[in-house]
Amino acid sequence: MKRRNFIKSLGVIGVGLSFSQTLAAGLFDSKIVSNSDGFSLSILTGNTTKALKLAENFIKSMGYTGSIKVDEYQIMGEFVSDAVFVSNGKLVNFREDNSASSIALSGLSKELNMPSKVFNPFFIKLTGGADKYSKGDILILREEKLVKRVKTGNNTEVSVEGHLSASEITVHNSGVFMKNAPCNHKTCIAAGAISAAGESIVCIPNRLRIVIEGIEKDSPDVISR
Amino acid sequence: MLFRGKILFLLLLLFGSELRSQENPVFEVNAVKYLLGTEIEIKALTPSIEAGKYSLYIAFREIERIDSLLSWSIPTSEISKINLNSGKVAVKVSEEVFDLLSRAIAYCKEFDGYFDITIGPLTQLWGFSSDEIVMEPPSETSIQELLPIVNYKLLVLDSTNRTAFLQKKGMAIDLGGIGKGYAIDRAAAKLRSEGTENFIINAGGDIFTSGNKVNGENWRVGVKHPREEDELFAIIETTNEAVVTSGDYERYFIFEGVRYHHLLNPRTGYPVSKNMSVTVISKTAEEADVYSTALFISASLNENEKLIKFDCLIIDSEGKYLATPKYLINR
Repeated sequence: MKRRNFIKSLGVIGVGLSFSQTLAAGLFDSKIVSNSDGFSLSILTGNTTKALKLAENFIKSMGYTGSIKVDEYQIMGEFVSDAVFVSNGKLVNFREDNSASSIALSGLSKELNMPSKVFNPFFIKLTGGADKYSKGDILILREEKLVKRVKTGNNTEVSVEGHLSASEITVHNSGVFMKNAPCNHKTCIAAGAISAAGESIVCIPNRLRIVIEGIEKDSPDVISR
Repeated sequence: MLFRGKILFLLLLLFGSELRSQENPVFEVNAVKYLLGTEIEIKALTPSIEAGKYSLYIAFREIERIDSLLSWSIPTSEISKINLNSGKVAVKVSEEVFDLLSRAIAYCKEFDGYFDITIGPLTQLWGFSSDEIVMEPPSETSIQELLPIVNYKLLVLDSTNRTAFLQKKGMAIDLGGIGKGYAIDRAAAKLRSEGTENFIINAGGDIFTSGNKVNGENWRVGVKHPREEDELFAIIETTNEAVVTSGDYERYFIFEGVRYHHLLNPRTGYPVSKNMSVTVISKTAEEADVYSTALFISASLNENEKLIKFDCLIIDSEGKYLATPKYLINR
């Protein structure tokens, strides 16, 4: 699979990840136009341990300090490994310029043999600065594997196969909620809609978790219930 | 020049932390697993992603181990073996389970049976812990039939032979009010032993906080409003403490206009209706787990406010509340 076809294959399973300037119309759209004071480093890889170590060193070599959020999800299927770095709202095209971050990112890319074909890879994302607090997409995970990524604000109905059977999820302007679920107690439906970054809905029997990417600034770190 | 620059950045990439002397970033790693019948999330702050992830792995492995010892839905667990032999024979248990049962009985005594780990038969009858749908309460007769076998005094612990024996057939231990707290404490100990000091464990809403956030501030724990879906009742700033809430709004059904929930009074066999939510802060999650359950069942703001000796937030059925000064109320 060619790198540029990466987004197409992701589209097949509904995961809107993008990994080049051409493909940046997906995941990184909001970041690119946001002019935010922050950064995100996304890596799609089959070698998680090595990628995390390299990503950590990349962040350190760039001189970033403070708190860096690390997310990691497995995605099922065949993909092409790649890395994307967005700094202060701009996509760093590391294959075409000679900036410090591009040189370091090229090194990371080479160390991880990018681009290459990977099966059931991991999507790793390190986010820092203001980007940590930007509201991202809606992620739908089954047993902590990413099965669907939906843009917030879309009005759409999504059906996802869970551990028991399919759950129906409604995404609307102001958030997302579980419309229908095969579990008996329906706690996930009773949870209502979520709309803020970092919020989640869980259906334990069907092993599904819906989460809105990001962290809501000034929100509590955790909820006791 | 460009070549030298490239070399420098590649070295930084490969040996970043060793080559830089300035302040390093802190990484926020997290993991989620389904254990103890709920979703458990651990978030840790770490200078090294690899070390942080390893400590999460060790912590989850510990929770898995405890689940395999205490779960009554796992037939090979020590608790299942005690239950299966109720009324028949004493069962040899590990030192860990013996100690936990000993502490549990002490809690039962402390709360004069309002907290009772032999509540298993009633829990099963009501069905809140099962995957089955619950639409209406069980019959009065079936509840009355079970009450005689819900009594912690009939659980005999023999320290010489390290055995546990449920004296009447049909009795069953349900560690739902203590097991999760114990597992959280053990996971917290494992994280610390791996050098991870700053973390939050969230086991289905039972929280343990340790250390601080990157900016040195305490962790902020929101307490869910018992009736307003998207609202918090309070926010607590805390560290190195557990925050556990027992409420009537997570597992419940409405039958003929009455709310029936999973927090049962062991003395009557019915859910308690005087409180909507009880949150307890304590040094250990085990204690907070037990106290929040026991206080939910026994505490009444009008009657025995003075008996409440824990840091807590009690919201009664009329919405009146008692909050100790430790709470930052944000309404």
